[in-house]
Amino acid sequence: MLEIKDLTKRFGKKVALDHMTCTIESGSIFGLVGSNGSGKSTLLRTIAGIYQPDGGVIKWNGMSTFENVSCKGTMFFVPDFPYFFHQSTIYHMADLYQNLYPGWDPARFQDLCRLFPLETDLRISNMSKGMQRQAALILALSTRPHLLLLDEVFDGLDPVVRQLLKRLLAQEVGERGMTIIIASHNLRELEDLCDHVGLLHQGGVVFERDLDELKLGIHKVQAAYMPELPENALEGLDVIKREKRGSLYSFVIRGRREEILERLNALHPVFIEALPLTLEEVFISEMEVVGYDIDHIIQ
Amino acid sequence: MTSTILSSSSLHPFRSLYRWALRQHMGLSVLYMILLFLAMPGTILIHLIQGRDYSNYINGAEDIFSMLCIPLTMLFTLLFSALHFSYLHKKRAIDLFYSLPAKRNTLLSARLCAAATQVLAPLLINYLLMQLLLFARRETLGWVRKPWMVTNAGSAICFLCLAVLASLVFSALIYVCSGTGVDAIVSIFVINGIYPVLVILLMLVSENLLTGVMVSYSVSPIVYTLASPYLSMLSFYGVSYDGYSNETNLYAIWWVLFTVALLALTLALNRKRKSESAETGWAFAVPNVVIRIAASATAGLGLGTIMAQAMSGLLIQFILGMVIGAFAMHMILEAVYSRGLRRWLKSLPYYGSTVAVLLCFLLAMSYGMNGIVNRIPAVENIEQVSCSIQGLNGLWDQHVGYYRDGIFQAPVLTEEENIQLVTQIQQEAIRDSRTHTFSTSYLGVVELDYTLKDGTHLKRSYQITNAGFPKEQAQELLDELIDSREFIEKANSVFQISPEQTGHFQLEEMDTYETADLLVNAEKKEELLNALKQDILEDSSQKREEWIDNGSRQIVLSFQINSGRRQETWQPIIDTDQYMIPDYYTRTRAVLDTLETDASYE
Repeated sequence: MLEIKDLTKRFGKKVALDHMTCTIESGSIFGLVGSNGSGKSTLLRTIAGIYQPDGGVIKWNGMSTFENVSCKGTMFFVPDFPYFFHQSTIYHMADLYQNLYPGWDPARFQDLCRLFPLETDLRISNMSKGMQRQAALILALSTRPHLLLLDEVFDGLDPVVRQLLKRLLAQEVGERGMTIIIASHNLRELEDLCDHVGLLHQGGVVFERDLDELKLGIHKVQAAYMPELPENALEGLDVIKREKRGSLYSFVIRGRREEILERLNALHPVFIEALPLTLEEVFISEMEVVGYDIDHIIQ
Repeated sequence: MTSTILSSSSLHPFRSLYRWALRQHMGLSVLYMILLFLAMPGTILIHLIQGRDYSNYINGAEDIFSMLCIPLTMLFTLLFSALHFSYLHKKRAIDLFYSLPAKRNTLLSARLCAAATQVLAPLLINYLLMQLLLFARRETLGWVRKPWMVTNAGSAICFLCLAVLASLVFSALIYVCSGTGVDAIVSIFVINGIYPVLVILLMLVSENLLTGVMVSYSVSPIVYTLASPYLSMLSFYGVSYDGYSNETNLYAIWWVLFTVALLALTLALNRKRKSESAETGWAFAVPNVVIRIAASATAGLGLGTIMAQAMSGLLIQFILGMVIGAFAMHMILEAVYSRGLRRWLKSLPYYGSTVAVLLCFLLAMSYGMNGIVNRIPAVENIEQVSCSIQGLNGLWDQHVGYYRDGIFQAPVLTEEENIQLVTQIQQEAIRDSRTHTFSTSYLGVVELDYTLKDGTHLKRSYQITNAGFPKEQAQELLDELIDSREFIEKANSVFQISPEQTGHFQLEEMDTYETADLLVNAEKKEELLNALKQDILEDSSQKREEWIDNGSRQIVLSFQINSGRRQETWQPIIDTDQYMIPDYYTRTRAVLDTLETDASYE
């Protein structure tokens, strides 16, 4: 289990992580989403032991991660721009990892090299962005980590490789109980893969929830009302967003589906329909609540 | 199948990282090995294969070593430092290395050890190869050379290795403290280059402000590189060439302590270093501040000295140059470190601190050291005094001492009357020299070395200039001293040698540069030298001055002197003494008239 308590990280005067508290269970796939500059990458680097926290603690299975060799031997961090040694091939990189990570599996490494459509003899610096990311993933998975930290992992991967990656990750979680934290703006991919999601904004956690629970707890309802609804018609409901085009209303409301429909039906709509929200729509809606939406930005 | 490597041992990450780091840049290490081989054992091998006598090469081996091996070692030490420690300045590299299951200090230490191995191993391997080749052909070498090559060259290598370690640790410290590669490289160059110049300038300025005090003579040359580990590679060779001494040992102890202390500091700072420092400003500002102040002070002292010496040598001219020079260097460093001059106003406190420190130094030197400047020992406490007077009479600068094996032999006076005279001369010198703080040009120097009865020494040096010392009173005292019998007998070599030591007598006419070898047998040698002694005893400063003013024809008598043999090489020491023979040296001229020669001399 990964426990984050009151975590704070500053870069000069800027507070990147502001007293963040979060718990991630082992064996889960945790999606980290948030606005630009919300602290996703900073959080991942702090968990990986790259940054030293300015306050609070991070514990992986009860151990602090910073400068903890045995703890870091069970985790692997793949950054948004992976670093490779000059003129090295994937084998050169493996040469470093195999003697440092106790879980390094040479057979797994060979399997993954065959699985991914990658020319392993090529110098990594001569590969495309997507191929470099594949190389980073091969190396990461070959260390058999218990905690895998991925930052924008889908960036640059073609749809086929993305599918492959999702399958591999799910397999690792299912077989070994690996814990994965993925930070990404690609909410579509996260929706397929993650079972938990955390939304960050300006260094703090807006919410952290089971994905299904999240999607079941927020609904988009379209309804037509003649005449118009009064302003206080939806009092008592947690309305995140309200749009009106003519007599057609569009609501994003938190709460149970049955309760919401019951209240809206009581107002005698001409037409009503409840639609499922994608993770992206949930993200945008929740961001609007904290004031991070396009109308505010354009203003 | 998973790896069975256990991570419980604290040495395991270090060993893995060390081995991995060694494999990096292997090509560069091989190149270094080849270049060193060509510089040292390779050339010996070529001579060997060709069957040539390479004893001359061996005699010059120390020059080859210092010309090639040391600069190569300096260059590759700098290169390997940059290659191994540059990860600290790249954000993406930091992401990789700091997420590895290894402590930061383990990573840094492993890289440091790898860099040391990559520099030292080729050096030691080539040194051993060289020794093997020399040992294989030891019968061709004289017995004198063999011990030298084993001990002194061996100590040279040991000191060089120590300097390499010191340089690597120093570089690691700078890389840990800085945020970018540019800052690190600039800082390494500035510190190593600036420190010796700063020391020299401080001594130079001190000597100008502390009239007569020989600051540079009191300070060992080793001090010039105490904070410049890269440059110390040069001085190590010079130190070890002379063999072991207390000074050498102290130097070695200093560098051991320096390396250990810097290593401890580097590891402590590395532990505290924020990862986000990469690609930004300084992780720790202290080196930046120290560099700025030291470099500005150096530039200030330098320009101040130049301006004072180019003008009339007044202190105010020095201060003006100091302020301008310090400011110019400050702005250059500000532009380099801050990548522009947008924050130059905020950087002014550094400049202000520099000027304040320099002014305090000037005040201390100018007004706080009068006791030292004015110190003249009491005659009754003086055992003897060595009085070296050079440049007083230009071409006529003889009868004040002579050279033996390249070293000037100043007369050492023991008679109380002459010692009293020397103290009076010193008093006049102090008074005359203080009229101009910085000497604009000097013609010569009067150096006094008192040996006191308690065994201590007091050394003073006073420059001979047109505007300052010696004025009339001092000149009279100097003439009186030079004309004293004791001074004459101790300053002229003819009184210190026997005729058997002399040979190859020659006459030269100064106007036409015609020379003639004289045929002198043993009897004539004694006669000639006795005549010369008598003439010199009857000579005086005034007579010489009048004779020069008359513009008479000048004839020089020269002869070789066998002064013994050199200890290390057993080669004979041959010196040549010259004496101007004015026409009033009647006895000498009479003897010369009786000698056969190739050309007339009249």
